[in-house]
Amino acid sequence: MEADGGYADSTLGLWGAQSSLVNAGRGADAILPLTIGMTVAFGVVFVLVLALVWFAWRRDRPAGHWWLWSGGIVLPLVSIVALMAISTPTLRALVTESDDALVIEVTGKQFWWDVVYDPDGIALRDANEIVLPRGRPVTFRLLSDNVIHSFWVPSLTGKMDMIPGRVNMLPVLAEETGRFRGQCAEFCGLSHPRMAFEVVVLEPDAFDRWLERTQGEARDAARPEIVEGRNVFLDAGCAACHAIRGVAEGARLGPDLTRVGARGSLGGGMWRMNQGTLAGWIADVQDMKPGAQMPSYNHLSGPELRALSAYLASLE
Amino acid sequence: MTDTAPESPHYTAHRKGEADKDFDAIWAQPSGIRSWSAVNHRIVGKRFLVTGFVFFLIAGVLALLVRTQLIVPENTFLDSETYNQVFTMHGTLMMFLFAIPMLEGFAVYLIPLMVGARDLVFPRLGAFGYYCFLFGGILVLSSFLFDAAPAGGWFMYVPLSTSDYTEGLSADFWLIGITLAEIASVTAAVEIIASILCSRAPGMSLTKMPVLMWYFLVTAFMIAVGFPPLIIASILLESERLLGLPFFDPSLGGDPLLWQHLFWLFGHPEVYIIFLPAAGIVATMLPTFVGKPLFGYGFVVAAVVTMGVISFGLWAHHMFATGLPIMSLTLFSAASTMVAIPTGVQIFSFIATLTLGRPRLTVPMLFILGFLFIFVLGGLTGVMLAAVPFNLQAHDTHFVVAHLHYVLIGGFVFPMMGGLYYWMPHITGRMMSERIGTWVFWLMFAGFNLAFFMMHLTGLRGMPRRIATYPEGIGWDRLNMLSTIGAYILTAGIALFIWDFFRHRRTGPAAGRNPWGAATLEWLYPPVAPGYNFRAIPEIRAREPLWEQPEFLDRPPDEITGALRAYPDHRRETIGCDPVTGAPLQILRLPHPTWTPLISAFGIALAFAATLASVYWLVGLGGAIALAGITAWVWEPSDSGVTRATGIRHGLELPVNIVDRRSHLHIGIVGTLLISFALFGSLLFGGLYLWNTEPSFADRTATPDSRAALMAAASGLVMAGLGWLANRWAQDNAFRAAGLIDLGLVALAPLTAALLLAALLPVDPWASAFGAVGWALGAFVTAHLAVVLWWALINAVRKLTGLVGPGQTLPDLLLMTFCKATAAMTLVTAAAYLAVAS
Amino acid sequence: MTPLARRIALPALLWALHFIVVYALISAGCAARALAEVDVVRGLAVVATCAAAAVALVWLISAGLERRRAPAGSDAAALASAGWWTALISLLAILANLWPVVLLGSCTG
Repeated sequence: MEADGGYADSTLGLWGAQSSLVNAGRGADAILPLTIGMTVAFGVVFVLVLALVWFAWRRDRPAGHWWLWSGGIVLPLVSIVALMAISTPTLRALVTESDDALVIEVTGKQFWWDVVYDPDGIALRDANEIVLPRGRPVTFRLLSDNVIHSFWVPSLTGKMDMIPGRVNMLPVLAEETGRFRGQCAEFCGLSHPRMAFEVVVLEPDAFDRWLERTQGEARDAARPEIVEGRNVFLDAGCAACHAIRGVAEGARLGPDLTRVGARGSLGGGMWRMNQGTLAGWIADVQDMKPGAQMPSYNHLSGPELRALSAYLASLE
Repeated sequence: MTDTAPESPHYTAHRKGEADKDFDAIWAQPSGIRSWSAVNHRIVGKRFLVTGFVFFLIAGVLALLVRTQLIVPENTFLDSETYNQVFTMHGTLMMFLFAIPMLEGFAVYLIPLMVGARDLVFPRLGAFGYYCFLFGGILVLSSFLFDAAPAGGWFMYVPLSTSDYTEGLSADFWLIGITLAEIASVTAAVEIIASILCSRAPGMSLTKMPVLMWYFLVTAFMIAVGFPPLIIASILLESERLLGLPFFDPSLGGDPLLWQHLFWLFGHPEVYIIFLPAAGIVATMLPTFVGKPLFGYGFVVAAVVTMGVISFGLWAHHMFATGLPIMSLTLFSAASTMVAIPTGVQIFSFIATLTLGRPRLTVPMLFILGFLFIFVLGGLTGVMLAAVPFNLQAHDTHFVVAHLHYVLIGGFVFPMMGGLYYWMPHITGRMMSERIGTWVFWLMFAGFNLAFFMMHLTGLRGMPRRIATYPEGIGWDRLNMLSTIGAYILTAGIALFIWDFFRHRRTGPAAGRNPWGAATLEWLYPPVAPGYNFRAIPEIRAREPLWEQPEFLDRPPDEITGALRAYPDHRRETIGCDPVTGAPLQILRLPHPTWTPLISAFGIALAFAATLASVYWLVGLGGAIALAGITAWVWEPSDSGVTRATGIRHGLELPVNIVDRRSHLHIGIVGTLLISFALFGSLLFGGLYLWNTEPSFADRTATPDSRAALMAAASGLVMAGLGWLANRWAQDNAFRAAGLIDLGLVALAPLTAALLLAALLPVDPWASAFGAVGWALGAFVTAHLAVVLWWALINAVRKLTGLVGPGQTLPDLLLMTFCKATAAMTLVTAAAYLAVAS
Repeated sequence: MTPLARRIALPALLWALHFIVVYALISAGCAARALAEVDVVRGLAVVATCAAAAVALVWLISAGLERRRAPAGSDAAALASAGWWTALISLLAILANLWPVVLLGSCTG
């Protein structure tokens, strides 16, 4: 995950990164057997019903009333009782929070994710990529201050809506390391299809190290063109919306950019993170993601854009 | 042939009775431009079917645009804004402007034919409904012309659809246009309930009527109770957009979930409203092609009734991911699974019917088999979705898109196609092609399954719904391409159907009498049946009349004995029956062609469109036109007060348009009041919900004035009393006195409204959502009181100018009932204000 | 309305009434205003269910008797059969409404 000369992987192009059939979290793990079990059981019921239709077509003797009894009462009743008996405890387990869970507050925006680790403690702010420890309980505190969004990482657990005026809690326990993909699952406007995010699951001690490292101020290298890029950032007014710890504090209108270069993807999980896509984004964000709150900065000159994107790419 | 009862001096039969015309001329339909004044159910029914089908095609083209955009990842065929408009309009057109009108078309066309009546009991209401649907649909579609097509999804969640996040008129086109089109749905509900209950042929008790009538009856009740929550929600959201009222604004005590509750309180019953008539069509065609009656009529009736009622308890299964407490979620989960029982009873009854004889594999039968395959699969994925843990993965993904299309296309479109092939000979007089029809079926079946089966997997692999594009390589590419190919194959099938439709009108073989060998009354006449349906209303002795009563098919249909062969007053009429027992009760007069439905609908449409365009003087003009049209509609003097011979049962004479609670008009008023109480109940629900879930805001809202509320309650009680008194004196022929009491009502109604509004004065509707709902309640009751005012005025004028004769007092009976209901609403509203004030 | 015709609609409407009561109880217990303790909610829900189920059972039995009495194939028999099945389905659905309340100890599990 640390970039050694290259950029971090992203889930883009990663087959199965956003699949509920891959279970890397306790929630998904509890749901998948239910999914498979119901698919098999109801698949059998379906085939039986079709067979019955075929049989009834060919049969000459009238059916007895027990057909209606078995198909209309007994079969549904048995399925219903089994379904409820299995799904109710599963549901209870899915929503039960651990007392010692790490709280991560995520606010859905149009069209990105504002992430705060331990909001009542260290309040580490980040965006669009969420890092989790394997094997440790986490509770997502889900909010929105605009329209309804929905927070969904299929490989980890089920989804939960982010509704203005409500606080919804989503317990998560990641069971495997790796990169997983999430996406907004409630239609939220023009760029709803481009509101995804990435989840990185690390071993617990790697996570602790990551958390420690990330809390400090932005680590920007001192190469000349990097410094120039930082100046462009400040001169072009980016700090009005974007915060970079140690460089520009306090702005919350846009994503926090302190570790933007370390993320696997850009624009809410939609483009690989590298200097080129960063430059293209800054120059023409409205074309890439119509309806985003950020205006296109196409008035910046070529050299300015190059410097700025190099600076941002270096922020890890 | 001659009547013996003396004519009352005010019975001016010559005005609409055309003494120089014979039976055929009396029933002749106007032609050319005048055909727009026709109110006959066959014409109105065909209009619903054709217009609904046109919207189906438009929405289908929109679906092809969606699938073409999704054929490959990161496609640029449609930009995001266009895509959002396209999928929103696809859903909106299909749900509101195709499915509901299509089932209304079948209902309006088939009900009188199947119950043995010459028309529906409120033909003008049917025509009016059609025009509202047409104008509403045109309004919604016209949004494309203004580049303001709705783009918020067919369920228009808030806050996305509020004025903060959707600027411009797109959401307003949806809210205003769809509400206009919904008028057709609720008027159809009243029409269906009254017609099925009040116009059955002599001998057709409730258990002798075709099972399709039970399906339509239950559906109509569901529409009456299920559409109001959406109408209320739409009005509240439009008020937010136009007036800034904070119903859904969490910073002022509103709740975005209130929209979802109201929408799905409508939305879930809506899909069963769409399914049930289609299942009824299957239940009608199946016995025809097996040659034996449906297995288990009693079971099926029970299943239809329980399914209709239970479907109202499922709504929050669309909200499993919103964070509601799991005890609540589990209640809805349990109820959602329970609906599988009445569904199963019906499906197994259909399957068991197959064993009763040797089924014939015709094109309609193919579509029935397709229905069984597709709908059962969709129903099973529905039970899967009822399990909350699974739902939390599948909700808002393509799995749901797959499920909903399986149940809607399998459960509605396939039976509809079968029904179109089945009843086409009745409508056009010619048979469609079995060979081409088989191709249509297989193209549709194969194309549909290819398109939508894949989506179950696509959804489980993580593809959300309503996304204009998707990244490549994460597992959705091939599945989407297959789905798109399937969509094109499905389209080919529908295109082939349209081609065969036009072809068969020119060269299809003529349909003989009862070409399918069916059992129900609509096939009594050889196609195409005359506009009056039955020269004499037949007497029914069995549930399958054409099978059990040989006197129907063994002679020319005009020679069948029955009621009302004579027409002494040269008026259109049919037999009215007791709503429950079915015993002949009255001679039910029917309107001749008239322009008032079109004028009234036009006025309403003008008012709606002008609201959309914010041209408020035009709103007033539209309202005035509508009021004039409706007044002209109801003004005609009643035909009641006389009795006539029916020609059956040894000289049975029946009153014309009986003045009685069992009258079709009273049943119609009761049906209308059911809708009204559902609207009122939705507002009460909104208030209770906000009171319970946002207690700090509710408690901080200023309280209404208790004294004014008490006075309003008292005024309401007096109003009910006056309504009762006016009716009592009218029935006793004291017309002057009754007219004066009516004038009292004209004064009391606005007074009651003023008192309610006075009670509300301390409450600022812009300060809190709870306060705004209080005002909405007051506004609703005020609208009801306005109706009382106008109605009482009409009644007063007619009585005081001598237009009312003895026995012509039905409007007074109806107004009494309406007053009682309005008074009840006033009392409940005043009580709510008092409760809050304490 | 005749007693038999009533039999078809009333059991389903009884379910609707019971559902409204249970939904109202859960809302009273689990929403922000917290009108009732969960134990009270559960107790009242059980009482309501026993009452509703008892009524549905009575209707079921009387419809069954009516079905036996009515001549086969008659109007009364068809109505009684419809009434019996409506009562049965409604009874099962009434019991299903109680499931969440008995199985879950509190609003959130």
